[in-house]
Amino acid sequence: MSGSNRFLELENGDLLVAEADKLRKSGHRLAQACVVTKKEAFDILYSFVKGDDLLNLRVRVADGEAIESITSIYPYAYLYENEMRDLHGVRIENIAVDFEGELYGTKNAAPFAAAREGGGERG
Amino acid sequence: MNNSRIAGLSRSGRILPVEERADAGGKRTIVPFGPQHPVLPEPIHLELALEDETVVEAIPRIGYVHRGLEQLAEKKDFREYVYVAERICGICSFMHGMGYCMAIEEIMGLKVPERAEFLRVAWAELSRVQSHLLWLGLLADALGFESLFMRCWRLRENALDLFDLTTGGRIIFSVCKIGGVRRDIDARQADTIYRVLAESEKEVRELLDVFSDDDSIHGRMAGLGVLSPEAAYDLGAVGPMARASGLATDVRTLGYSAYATVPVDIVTEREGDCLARTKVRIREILESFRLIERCLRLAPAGSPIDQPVKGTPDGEHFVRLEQPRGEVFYYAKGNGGNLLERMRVRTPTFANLPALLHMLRGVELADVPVLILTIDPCISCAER
Repeated sequence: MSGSNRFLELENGDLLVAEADKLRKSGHRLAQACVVTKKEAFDILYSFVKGDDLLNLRVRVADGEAIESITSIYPYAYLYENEMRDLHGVRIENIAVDFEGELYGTKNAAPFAAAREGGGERG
Repeated sequence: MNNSRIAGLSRSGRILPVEERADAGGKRTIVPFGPQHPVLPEPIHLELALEDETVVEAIPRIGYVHRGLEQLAEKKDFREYVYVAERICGICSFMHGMGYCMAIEEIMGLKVPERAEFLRVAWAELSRVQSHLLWLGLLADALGFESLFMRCWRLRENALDLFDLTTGGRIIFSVCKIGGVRRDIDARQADTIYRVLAESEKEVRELLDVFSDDDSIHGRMAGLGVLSPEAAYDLGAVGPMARASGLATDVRTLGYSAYATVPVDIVTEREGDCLARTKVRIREILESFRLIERCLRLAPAGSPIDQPVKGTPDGEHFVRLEQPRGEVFYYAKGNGGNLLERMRVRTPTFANLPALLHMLRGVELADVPVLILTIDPCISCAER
């Protein structure tokens, strides 16, 4: 047993902050955020936990499309969001603590960026 | 939380010449801390902005040893990836393998045999023991307490010897597999474990007395780096960091693996300072001893320890485990092939970085090394 797993698909990134706000008010804490790289797009997953409940918000954004940071709701999301930008190249706007691409000192910028046309999907 | 852009640093986080720090009035000094530092076994860099000797801001930079291990899951057969997961970190190696296996087992609907669950928890708790003792030794060394350092690491050898006895390895032992475990622990080995744990318990209690009562240790750590319960919650702190601030949070209470049968007594302290974090870890060693013995006594004798894996993972799942440093997340997503589409690990050190940066504000430069050490940073984990 590892607790429940729920996935809530959001139609677009504009809904992310509002959903995060609801979860904050219901007592969920942000547990992680990550990216699944797709062909010319990303699936962005924000995970929230409360007890054994684990709810994942998923939103698909096109490569180059921006989403709004949820740091206005969960201030410590800044670390996950800086990571998503540094490693995957996801555009996230208005991160409260913005390291401007300097958190990860990787040799190449966004080494796990979305696969471009002709490159095929990762995996 | 306001933007952390500070006087003294350029927009890219680089140090500005003194004459360009007009808004700081020339009062601020930037001190680079790391990536190589005597208290840090692994590389992480902090740019510390000081006013006089006081830290007013800290900006992290990581990625020095990033290995792309999450991405490697997309190129390795999902059964073979267990060996890679174990190598994310040499300190909590077993639990990385266990977390990965649990995620795949959930996706594939595999029921792990009961005996294997007990053995997994016994090895997981022994991993917690050796991790905490390793950290205690590093802390004693950072405090200049050489004899205490050697005592902690000598005790840690007991745990490593038990790994050697039961798995054939001391650090990375590849005993966890999808569907169960590879090795059993027989009655004779179990008797040795009970004896070693009983001998070690007496010494660990003495360690608790030394770390709690010694004046020099108390003077260096009591009241330093206080993290309030509210800040710990708001900043997403996990593991001993959160528990030392009074938050009774421990993923083991969810009852995964054998923890449903062998429930954990959560160890907490209230002070939230460096000393409280130390006490939590020492008391957790004692709790781990109890859990190990209970698991070995309750494991049904003669039962199978694994079950065959048929098919390939098709689906996705998150699992949460309590590693020595706190809650770890494993996410796996398969699409019916031998390669995973995505594997993600959110490690406790990464989750504790915001709390560390928060605690660094207001401390004296001389206290920074000890404060950083008390979050028990594992950069290998963070740089998976």
